[in-house]
Amino acid sequence: MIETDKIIFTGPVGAGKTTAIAAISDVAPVSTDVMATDSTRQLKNKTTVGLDYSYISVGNGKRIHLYGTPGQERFSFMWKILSRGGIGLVLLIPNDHPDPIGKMEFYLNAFEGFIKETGVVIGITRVGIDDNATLTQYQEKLFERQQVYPVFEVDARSDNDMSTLINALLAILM
Amino acid sequence: MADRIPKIVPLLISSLEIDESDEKMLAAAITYAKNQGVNCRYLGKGKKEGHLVVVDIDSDAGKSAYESLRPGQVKLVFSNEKISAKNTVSLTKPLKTGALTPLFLRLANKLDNLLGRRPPINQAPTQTTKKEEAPVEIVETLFHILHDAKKNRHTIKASVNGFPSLMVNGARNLLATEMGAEALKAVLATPSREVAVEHIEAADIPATSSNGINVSSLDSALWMAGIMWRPNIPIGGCDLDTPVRLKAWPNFTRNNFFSEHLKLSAALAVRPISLMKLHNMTDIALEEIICFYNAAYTIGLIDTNNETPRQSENSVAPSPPIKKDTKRRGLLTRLADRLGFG
Repeated sequence: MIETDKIIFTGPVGAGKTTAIAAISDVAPVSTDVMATDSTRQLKNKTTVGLDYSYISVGNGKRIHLYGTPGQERFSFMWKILSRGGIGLVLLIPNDHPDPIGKMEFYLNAFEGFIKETGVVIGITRVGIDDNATLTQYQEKLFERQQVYPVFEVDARSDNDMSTLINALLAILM
Repeated sequence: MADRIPKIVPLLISSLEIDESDEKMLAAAITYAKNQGVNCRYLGKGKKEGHLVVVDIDSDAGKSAYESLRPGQVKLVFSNEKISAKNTVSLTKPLKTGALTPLFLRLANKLDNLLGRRPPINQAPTQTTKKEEAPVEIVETLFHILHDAKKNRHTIKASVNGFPSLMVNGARNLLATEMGAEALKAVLATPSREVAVEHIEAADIPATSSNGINVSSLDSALWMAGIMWRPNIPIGGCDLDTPVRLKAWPNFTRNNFFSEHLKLSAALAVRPISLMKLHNMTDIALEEIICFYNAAYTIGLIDTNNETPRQSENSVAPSPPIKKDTKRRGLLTRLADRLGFG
């Protein structure tokens, strides 16, 4: 967790953080998934209570580490610890969440300091399932907040989509 | 019809592989043309994106630079021998000011008039006449028809001979057609005069794909057409020196894009920057920047109100320490390479 060359994936339960990390990393992520016993169970059987970890090798033995935060807000104390020294943030929002725009704002506020120091990209997942917002609505909310961050529709399983998202983050950082 | 091209955009001139003394002569000819009322601007040496590109082709590098230019670009060629080729005007070396200046003036004036920005040179142009000039007559395409439909929330059917028709609901941002993506790319550049347009009812357009008709976002087609249409002129009343910025990033995961578009979005999302300054900052070809701007403008992503500073402009330190870290920058570059965007 002390590594500094790391990208943090965050977002609510069921956003696809573990899947997204798996899509672009070199090895299957190490996850601390357990059977869900709380309200999370209504969303999925297993959930990440600790964190996800994997990496992307970039040559010469160097790695970019990928960490996924646990989705439950009661673990929010870990977010700050996990993101310390990180390169940037990938925020995934499931579009079938009852209030996806509100959730986006919640995470942008929660990671405000980290985002100011680095950068953020937002991936809207689970689009076309039970949509509760349009891409334009996300864009308008960001514009209203005067935070014109990249926000793309993504399939968390797609390495193409996740690579595009990460590259947008790199474009901001470089 | 669609947006008229702004009249204040200058005729862009660039040069390739010309030596210092020829460049000085060219600079003098440009100054003379400007004094004669031609609205032109020299982009500099080593740049391919002028409306008029001046090339010395007597070296291998010059020949290759000439060959790399687009067929539609007008070239003024310096050579020991007279050259005859489409869109190419040749001037035999050694260059003389007395030959270059009048030839350049005729050429620049003709091009400037073709772009419709000013009256003929014998009308003694003044600031006043320049403001009253005729509208630009750049060839408009199906792209402009679709843009018009979106802007005016029209529901239309557009047909091009030999292709299935396109049904457009501008209000709902829908495009329905039997055409595949490749055919659509090809047809979007069809000149407007070859497109039959009729107004139809919204109910005539299916809401979802079925029976071989693909229903997709009109914005995706407009974006694709925008980045393909290469007029070298920004649309929507923008000139190269007006600061612009993005309202929102394009949805890159669902639209075609080039890696440069990520860099341009990153720059234009933070603060207003003119297209010319962006070109100088990023070293991305001006033509690509203009295409990006046009595509973003067409789908409503350009913020025309540049007055309000954004949180990112205010709160982010001018260069956060992380961005200055060259080691980390190297690592990020390698990650971009690894992900195929280097």
